Amino acid sequence: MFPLDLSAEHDAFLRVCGLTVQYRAERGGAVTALRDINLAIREGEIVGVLGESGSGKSTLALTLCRLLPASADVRSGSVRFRNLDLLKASEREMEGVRGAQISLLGQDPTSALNPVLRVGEQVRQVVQAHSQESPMTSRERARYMLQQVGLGEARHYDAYPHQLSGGQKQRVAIAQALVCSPSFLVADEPTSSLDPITQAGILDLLQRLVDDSKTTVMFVSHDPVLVGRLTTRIVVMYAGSIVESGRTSEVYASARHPYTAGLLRSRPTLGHLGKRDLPCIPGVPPDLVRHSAGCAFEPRCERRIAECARSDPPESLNVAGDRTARCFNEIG
Amino acid sequence: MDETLLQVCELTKVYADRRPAGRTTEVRALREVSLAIARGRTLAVIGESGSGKSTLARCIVQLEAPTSGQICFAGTDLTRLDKRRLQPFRTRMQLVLQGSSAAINPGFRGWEVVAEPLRIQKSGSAEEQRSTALQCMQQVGLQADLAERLPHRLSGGQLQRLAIARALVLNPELLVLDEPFTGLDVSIQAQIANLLLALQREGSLTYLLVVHDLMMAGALADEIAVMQDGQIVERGIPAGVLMTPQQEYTRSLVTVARGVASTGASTTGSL
Amino acid sequence: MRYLFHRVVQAVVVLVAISILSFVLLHLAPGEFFSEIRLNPQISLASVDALRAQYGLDRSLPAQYGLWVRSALKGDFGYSFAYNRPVSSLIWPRVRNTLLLNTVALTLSWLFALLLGAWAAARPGGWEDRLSAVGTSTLFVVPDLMFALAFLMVAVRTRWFPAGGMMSLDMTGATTSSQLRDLSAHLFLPVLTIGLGTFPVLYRHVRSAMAEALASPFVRAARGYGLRRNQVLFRQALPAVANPLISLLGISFGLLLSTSLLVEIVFSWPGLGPILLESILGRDIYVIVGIVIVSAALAIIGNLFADVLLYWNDPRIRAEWR
Repeated sequence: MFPLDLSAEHDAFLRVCGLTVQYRAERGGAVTALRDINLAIREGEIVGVLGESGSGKSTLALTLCRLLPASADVRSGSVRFRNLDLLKASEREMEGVRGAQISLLGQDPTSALNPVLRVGEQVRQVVQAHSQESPMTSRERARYMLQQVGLGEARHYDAYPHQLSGGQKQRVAIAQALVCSPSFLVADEPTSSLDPITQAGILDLLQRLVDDSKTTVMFVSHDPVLVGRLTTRIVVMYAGSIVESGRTSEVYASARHPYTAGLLRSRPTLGHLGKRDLPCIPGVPPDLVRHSAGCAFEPRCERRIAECARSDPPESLNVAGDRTARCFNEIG
Repeated sequence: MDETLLQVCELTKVYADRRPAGRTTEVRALREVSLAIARGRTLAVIGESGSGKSTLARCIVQLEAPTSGQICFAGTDLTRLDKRRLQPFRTRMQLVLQGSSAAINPGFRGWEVVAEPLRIQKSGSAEEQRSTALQCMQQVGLQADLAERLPHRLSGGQLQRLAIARALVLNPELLVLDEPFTGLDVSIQAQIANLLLALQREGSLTYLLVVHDLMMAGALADEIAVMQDGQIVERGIPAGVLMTPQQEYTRSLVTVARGVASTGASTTGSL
Repeated sequence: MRYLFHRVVQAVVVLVAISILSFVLLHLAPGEFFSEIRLNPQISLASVDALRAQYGLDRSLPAQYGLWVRSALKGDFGYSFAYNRPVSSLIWPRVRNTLLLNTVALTLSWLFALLLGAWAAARPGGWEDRLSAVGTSTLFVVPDLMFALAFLMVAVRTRWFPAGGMMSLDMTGATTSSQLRDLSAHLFLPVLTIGLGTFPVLYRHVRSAMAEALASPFVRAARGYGLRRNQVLFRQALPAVANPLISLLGISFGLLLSTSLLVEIVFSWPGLGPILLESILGRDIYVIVGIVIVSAALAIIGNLFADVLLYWNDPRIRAEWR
């Protein structure tokens, strides 16, 4: 996953170049949600996008599926999926792509399901949207998929959303997302509304399904622990930019960007028992409307130097292997 | 100071779910729950949704009446008091809800939200109320310029701090916090956790912390109680519950939390 | 089934309460059928009193009510002084005519509202949406009476449509198809008038419900799985908005009578409207009570129908009643 390596062009499954997305703010003015994003994903990878609120991770996920709200403007950049330029494709073409080639799995299973339709029917409608099959065949496929996600009993197919638990509803959403065997799954915080044990179950399920079908996954989350568990490569976002990227194990073992390091340290673990202060990053994420010169993280950074306030650190500094870090004074 | 501030004995809460067509089913939200917290200490109650932990919190702060059992605050049994005599106790303990659902009036400005309890209790002039509110906001780390902001312009972390400030304005001795970390970014969770620790040190506050994040509970609590289906199935010091859980249910919770947490420290990406 | 039983019991109770209420109110109103006759110097007071006694008007209020209930149970629902017939036989054929007029008008209104509302909601902010909004607002503001009179004038001047009534004079004995054609011709203008009156409100509701459904998370999710726009509209959004729309259907049923009253009078449609007016002016109290009960019953049936539809459509409501 190497933005500048053009030799990897033919390998690229998904390539994002120079993507800048803004939202029109209510008071006139624009919120820059994504600033000059460069990203390449290889087929078969499980890439994590780690970022907190305002980092732009959800905007990135929505842009890849062309599901941005009307108030969003793609200011520049391109998103190439295989040979298709997603930003230039027509809505009709995108309808064919969504669900069949790129699927989005969202975070709130409760509101993502139609309350007056049976869940089996909702999965079947996805099948129907992408093929000309008879109702019988599409029903069978839907049933099979529900079985794959652990809802194989007859009563599950005919159940209405309100009869299912949060975890079960998310399983239905997973079934909908994967029933047409898309090659790319974008999972946007799929477990954030679930409690820990259910969360673990859903992640296990995702892991298994993705391993079986060799689906490429982009897993978006604010929880470093979840991202660490599931992914092979990771991209860390802050205030609309990618601040660090590399293999998950390496980044977690020795983060180079101060934000990543701070974030990883602030998660309580067994070593934190005893009512001592948790290490934390002071301050709050920046206001995305005003963009001052210099690094967006600089006000909160303990490693800041004079250069940091003056100009934005360059796109990505070429670090050994395929690590990148957008920092003038990186760690290590 | 090892005085017991809060003692709950055999607390039971049964809800009658009255359906139309006259059928009523019973829901036992709390079954003979007993616990005690000493002054200045923190008790964390862990549980999943449906375990009864929120019901417990609401019963203790007198938002709901328990079906049976006793709630003793500083030696007095609150369940035996009538409304009038209960009044002074209500200000001694306060509830802090999750910021986003803390029933913050969207039309009130920052300081007005915090001053609301003072207005309801009619304590002090409008000027005094405002200055107390501003003081509390400062105490929780909210800058002065947020005092005039409307809630929808505040971030999740700021809303949570506002909810805490509002709870502090009446100088309570006990704070009951119901899922204050849920929905917040990881780095903000750490900030709020540190805030709570600091407030406790400065004001010797007592906390009843209801969460479903085991690791956060371990970092903040003197004692952990694990709830399942309305009952406390295990309790002990954090080191005990997290490293050597006795009950099956606790073990599964810990495995999930640890199995996931330890990966943060170790390095394997794909398991 | 338990549900249905509950509602039927409720309905009966309500009807009884309404009958009592209207009875009392009517008697409180000054004057009665015989007031005018009383003024006629040629008829002695004794005869008037005898007439009153015959109809039980000299008895106490509860006793009169009792008489009425007995008559109701017999199927007569009281007696019309003006027409000299039991009330039920008088109003029954008119109920049918009113129902015919209103059902046709309501069905067409709903059909257009659904289609147009869905179409506009799928293109929010587009020219179709804005044009429809302006158009329906205008329709909403114009009083029904104006439409009725305008159409009547058109009918009289151009002779394209009959100027009132339900059936042409030469139609008895004609073939069914030409009878139907004749009926349609007579129906056209009154239906159009009522339709133009009810359509704006329905359209507004359909459009906003659909717009809300189309903006809801599950529709966004469905689009995320690649469902086409039409699939989303009809297979996802429409079932989801059925609830408030079904409730609206129930309510519009109930407003039936008041809506068509005026129109029936202007177009001389032989429904409940003209006879209600007549009876009010003439204080033919039992007819009035009868018509009030009928309209209440229609409202109740409409709501009941809507509730049953709601039960059938929404699984969450079914779960509550299990």
